[in-house]
Amino acid sequence: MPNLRNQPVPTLALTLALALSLAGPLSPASAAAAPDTKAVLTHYAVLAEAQYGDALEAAKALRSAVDTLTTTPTQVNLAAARDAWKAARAPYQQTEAFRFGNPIVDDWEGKVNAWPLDEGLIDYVDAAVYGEGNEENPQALANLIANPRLQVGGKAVDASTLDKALLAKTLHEADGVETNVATGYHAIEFLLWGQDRNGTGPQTGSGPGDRPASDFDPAACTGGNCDRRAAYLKAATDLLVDDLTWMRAQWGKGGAARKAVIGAKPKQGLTMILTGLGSLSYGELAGERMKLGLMLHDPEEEHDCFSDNTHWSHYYDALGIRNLYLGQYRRSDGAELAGPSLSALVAAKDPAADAALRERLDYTLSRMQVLVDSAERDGVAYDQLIGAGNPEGNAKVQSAIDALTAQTKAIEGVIAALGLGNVALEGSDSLDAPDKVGR
Amino acid sequence: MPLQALPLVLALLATSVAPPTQGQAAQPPGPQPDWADLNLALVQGHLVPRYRVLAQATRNLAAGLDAFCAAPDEAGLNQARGRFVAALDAWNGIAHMRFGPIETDQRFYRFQVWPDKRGTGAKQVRQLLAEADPARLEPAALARDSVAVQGLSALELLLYPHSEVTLADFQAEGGAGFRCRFAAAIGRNLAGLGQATLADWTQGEAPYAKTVLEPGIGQGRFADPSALGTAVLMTLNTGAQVVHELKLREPLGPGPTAANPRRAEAWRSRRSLANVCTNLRALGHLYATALAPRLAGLWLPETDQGLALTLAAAQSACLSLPPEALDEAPGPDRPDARQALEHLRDLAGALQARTGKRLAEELDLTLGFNSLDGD
Repeated sequence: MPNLRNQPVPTLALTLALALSLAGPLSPASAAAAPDTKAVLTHYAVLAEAQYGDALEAAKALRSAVDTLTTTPTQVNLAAARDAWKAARAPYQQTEAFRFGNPIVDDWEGKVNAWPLDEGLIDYVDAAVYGEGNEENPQALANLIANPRLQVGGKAVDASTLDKALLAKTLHEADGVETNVATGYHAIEFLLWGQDRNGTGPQTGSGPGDRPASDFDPAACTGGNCDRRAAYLKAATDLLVDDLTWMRAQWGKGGAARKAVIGAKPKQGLTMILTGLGSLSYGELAGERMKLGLMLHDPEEEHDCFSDNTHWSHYYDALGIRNLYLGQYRRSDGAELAGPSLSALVAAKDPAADAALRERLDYTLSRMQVLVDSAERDGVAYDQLIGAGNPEGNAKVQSAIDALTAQTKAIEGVIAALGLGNVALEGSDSLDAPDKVGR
Repeated sequence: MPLQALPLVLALLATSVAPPTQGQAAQPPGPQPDWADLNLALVQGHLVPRYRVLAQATRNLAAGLDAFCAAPDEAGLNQARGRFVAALDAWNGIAHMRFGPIETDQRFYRFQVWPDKRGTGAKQVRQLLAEADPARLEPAALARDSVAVQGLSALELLLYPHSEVTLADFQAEGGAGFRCRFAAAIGRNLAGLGQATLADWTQGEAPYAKTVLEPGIGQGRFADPSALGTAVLMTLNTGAQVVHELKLREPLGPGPTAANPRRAEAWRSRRSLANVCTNLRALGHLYATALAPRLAGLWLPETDQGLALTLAAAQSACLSLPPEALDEAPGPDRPDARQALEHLRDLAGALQARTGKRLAEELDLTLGFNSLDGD
């Protein structure tokens, strides 16, 4: 890690741009423009409430589409539910930038977005894609939908009724294994799409999972146990709505997450924001979700592996990080929120550090746009981009990883500029002690 | 803006921007470590010798596997397993280093992929075995394939566990079977990785060692001599984190009933605890060689003593355990064995804490984000 105390002087272009902004009739001197730290922290909480609110509304729309599907299991209704799932991902993924800096979010996150998963816990799988199970996970082939009785932690579990309590309290992370994901977006995604059995090849690799709507139709059932599958899907979607309702309340007036940020000492609060941005950028997104998949060339090593929606999930992560730095957010209804930003605070102290990070954030988003264009315009999905023997595709993903890594360095530059060097994050499992047990 | 206003603006800029920049560049009070001296000790005393051992061990491994596959017999299998263990030990003696030539071409992950939460590596190795396509074993093809089928983790899957993998698995009519050829291809791949990593440190026009030792030249990453000190501190801290959180806490689980021996790093070859002991010894060596003597006087004596004692206690606790203790990840039926492992885990946790932010602050260094941040 380079020592960021000794930064190069700003380039001439940057200096001139800054000079222009300083000289503009509406721009006061930078020091006067610096927002109050408390105002920045308050606005951060306001953005969180709006973002979790949008994620909640989209999850309710998904629940409604799932109700329609399970009542009338047609291909049209399945397609509508899938669209609703994709729409729900857009606001949720943007909230991920809150996660690592806020223990209340990080402790909760596993309920809604746990990944990767051994989906054989939930339903039937194709052994050719899935392998013969996971030696670390005794439940990797439990197939809850087909099996109303199973053993968890040496005890018999009655799973004859697939309801919210059973999924959340008994089955999720069963046997203490993180890949036993019984709830959240990815469990729902697996139920809506099924496994993507197309591999990563240039021709064969295109297309997401192709579960038929009849998998939810007890009257003309495919895949077996259609009533249990429908019940599972409904319970998991209801839980998602419950969990997001709870999280939005944490950010509302009087909510614990809001109080934790606004009530923090200024340096603590700013550290919380930046920890969220840095940990998501580097260890989580660039590392766990992207680099590992690129190195393993495996179609299940993409974040939204059943729906082939990974390009959007990564894009919205990057957008969410940028939003929180700039203090802005475009709501699902198109309304623009803007307010006192961390960027302005940094610009007043160290314009070069601020400009460097803004430039990096923009660049990362442009690299994510390349992945979106590949999937949406060129028809080459993310799992094909990470396939072995696709050097061009691999390079596109690597370029996004490199952009995130450079962005992390710029975040470290901002941390140094604000004098937050080694501010310990109380009660957080990020930065120097990511807690991997019982997230 | 009219052009003639520019000088004025630049003057304004100088007053508004310069002070904080100067403030940041100012040296902190107190004695400064001799970073150049520290860097030399790190490279000559720790890194290069250990990469040399790794290069030698992987070369022996490749030769051993080639010899075994020329005429597979029990003696050859035993020797191949012995050389695998030696290569695994050599790797664990330097696996804490995550910067430098080991980053090039994803070498770090091509040596080893672990943890592998979903068992992707095992799945891919089984698929490659079932496919039995010799074209995938060609050196260039294997090097480009998934990192999980070309390194130590894949080789362990082919050679172990003893209870399941027998000589017959490596034989075919008239000689070596596909499993043997797969193993030998991995051996050659590892030998190539070991050689290339060492060569990048020590040979050629711009060996990496030179970049590190002569600040200001080359890649700029270590242009500031204290940057290497930061990297070493992060190496120590991340190394302790890996041992504490991944290698010990994961298999032990939060309580006796949650123990999961399949999450131990090398349960197939039953080397999980040996790896931990090797890691701790390596971190101790890194500390004693490249940090402690040169930082004496810069930090509080109790910091140094506390760190040295923790390192020594962790190593001694590790060596006092039965060699296969971790591969068995004892649960409620063996409270004594479990307690001893929990003690080791807590010592590794203490080491992680003692090499973290407080120490960085004492040394006026800043720890950045590391690749294990996230979930």
